[in-house]
Amino acid sequence: MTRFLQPALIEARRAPVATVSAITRWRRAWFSSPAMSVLLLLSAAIVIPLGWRFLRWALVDAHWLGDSSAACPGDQGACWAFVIARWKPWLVGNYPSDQLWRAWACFAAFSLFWIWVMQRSRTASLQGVLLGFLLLPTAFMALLLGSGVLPFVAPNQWGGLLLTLIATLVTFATALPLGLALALGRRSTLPVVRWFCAGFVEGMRSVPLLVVLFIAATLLPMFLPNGLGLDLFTRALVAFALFNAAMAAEVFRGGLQLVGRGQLEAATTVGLGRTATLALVVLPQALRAVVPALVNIMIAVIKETTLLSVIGVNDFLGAVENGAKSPDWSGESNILTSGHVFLALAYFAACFALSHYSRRLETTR
Amino acid sequence: MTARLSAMLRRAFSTDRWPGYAGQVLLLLLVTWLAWSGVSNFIGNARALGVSIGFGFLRSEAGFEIAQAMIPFGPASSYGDAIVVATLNSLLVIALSSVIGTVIALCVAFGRLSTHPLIRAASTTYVEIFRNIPMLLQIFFWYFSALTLLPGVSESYSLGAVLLNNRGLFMPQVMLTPAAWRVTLVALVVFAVSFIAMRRVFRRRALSRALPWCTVGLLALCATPLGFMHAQFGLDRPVAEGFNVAGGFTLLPELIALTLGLSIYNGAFLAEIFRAGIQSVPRGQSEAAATVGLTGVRAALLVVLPQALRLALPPAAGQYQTLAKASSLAAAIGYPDIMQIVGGTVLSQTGQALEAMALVVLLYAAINIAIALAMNLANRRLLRAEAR
Repeated sequence: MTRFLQPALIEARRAPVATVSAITRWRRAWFSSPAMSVLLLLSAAIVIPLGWRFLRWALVDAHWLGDSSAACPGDQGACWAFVIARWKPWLVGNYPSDQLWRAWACFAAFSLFWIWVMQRSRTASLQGVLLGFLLLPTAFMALLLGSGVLPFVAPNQWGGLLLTLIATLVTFATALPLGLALALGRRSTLPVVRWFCAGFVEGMRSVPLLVVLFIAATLLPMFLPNGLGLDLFTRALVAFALFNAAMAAEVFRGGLQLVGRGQLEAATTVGLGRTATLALVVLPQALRAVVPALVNIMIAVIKETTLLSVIGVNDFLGAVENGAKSPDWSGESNILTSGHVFLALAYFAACFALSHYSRRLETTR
Repeated sequence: MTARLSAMLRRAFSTDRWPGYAGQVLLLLLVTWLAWSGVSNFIGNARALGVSIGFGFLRSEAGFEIAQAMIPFGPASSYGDAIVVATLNSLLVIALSSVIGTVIALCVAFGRLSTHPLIRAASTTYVEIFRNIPMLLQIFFWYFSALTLLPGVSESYSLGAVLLNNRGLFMPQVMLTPAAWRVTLVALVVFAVSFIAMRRVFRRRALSRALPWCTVGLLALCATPLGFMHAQFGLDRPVAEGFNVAGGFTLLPELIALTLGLSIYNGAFLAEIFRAGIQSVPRGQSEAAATVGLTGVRAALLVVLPQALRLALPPAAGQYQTLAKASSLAAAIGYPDIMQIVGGTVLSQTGQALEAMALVVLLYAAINIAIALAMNLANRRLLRAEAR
């Protein structure tokens, strides 16, 4: 009879050393088959000249300085002079020059806050961050609007990156509490509350944001009493808050569903009431679970703020678009293209960094 | 019975339920008050502006033209017709972008899982770049920066009868007489019915290998009557005339820019959804496909993808809804869709802001619901195929 059992212990061996040289391995990966090689060479033949042309356009032939479209003759090179000369419109809009320190203070405070958020340990409590996201927009609004000692600056004078930053932060600070309330309302035992919250969330989710913004811009004044003249920016913020509250409500609902029944039963066992269970057991777990999804909502909000330019608010995108229409810079299509490339880089940097951060949060938890 | 009833009543009126009832009544009162004051403000404001309320305007003459109309539309048509034209235009751009976006997404999703480093890197770069730049900026880029590089009408790029210039993409159009229309329709129906019947019979008799040849034969058979009446078919070629192009079928530059923006942006998101689905399919499945002799594209489409869709279809449905909603960005570049025509032109010409916006909301909600229903149906079919 044949024996299939190994009678003695096998000696430990070293891991086999790869006998294939690095170059062969590289060749096998990159030129695995004739078709792949042809594809590779073809794409190189297309991409390298295109990349070279873009580099020439963006760096070698670019025009860097000047204060009108005369600085960028022809369409061979990018017109960075447009971006550099018009730094103020795309950074802060028409904010009064003698009050600019208020805008700088906002940028500086936000940068410091963001550095603090990034460097803190990911297991630390979230209370500080949440509080910051609620307090900062309030402080920024108060500082930028001004009253009393500070002269009043109406929101229609704000613009550019400053306005995009404020819109994003204010939307975040208003939509998240509202979304949490809607998500809790959908789980309520009271039918009227449940129906209302579900109806609001589902209704908002079936309409494009642009339509909501447009209704806020054109139709909302008709529904308000005559004396209450909200300005366009505030109405747009209301639209953003309501729309994103519906988005956040779905995220929070997922988080709340994650907290198991056993947690609630355990809370009842140790004698916690309904409010205490919610505040001490359910919310801390649910919120921690949805942090990456909330960062994704923030990315979506940053990208959504570009719609402000469609209803005539002078946001980051709108400021650059309007700049290319100003008499000094109109005419050459190359100028607007340079503006678009600049905007794309700026938005990409912000959203890519945030999405990286969100992915890291997901994997390290 | 009475005991149960009285217990129910006692529970319903117990004191610890009162705060809940009070809260609900308060919420109802608040919502009613908000709605009532809003409506009364609106009526007051509308009266002050001299705007009448109602949908009567839909039948009156619109008096404007629409650059792209799939049904006959002229200045004498009504506002109701304008809304139909706008809805068809919206559906066209949604359908085009969904199909192109899905093709892009499938290529990129399989590309991200490829063993070839270059394909993997290119796919990852695509996703990271186009997902992180706002869609509106991308649409503006295509419309204002890229398409303005196209030459004018007199220097159009031409490929056969197709013309491409800064006025749009012009394609030849087959013109049919009414008689030719009817014959074509009948031939198509006959072909479709007999093809399905033939396939069923061939499957049962295990004759699938003969199917392609028989299909060609059937096609030729159905096309023969059309050949006899070829005089009834005409080809309307686009011809450059001065500053414009006459004849043919036109894709507006707005439509091209919007389709590019929508399909490329949403394609990046769809690619990630499909990738997650593909990664959920066990490796053994593609190895099994290789064992039975399926390779490359066939294994991917016949074995991996149907299983990947089980996980990917629900989130993909959400993404298609997002795409449909985002098609409203057409208003920013002037493509005549629902938002631009109903929420823009019709609204400003009639002053019927409430009615126009209500129509816009209803139309988008209807499109959304239709997509949700279609995807649910597809999902159910997928799961049923699984159960068999």
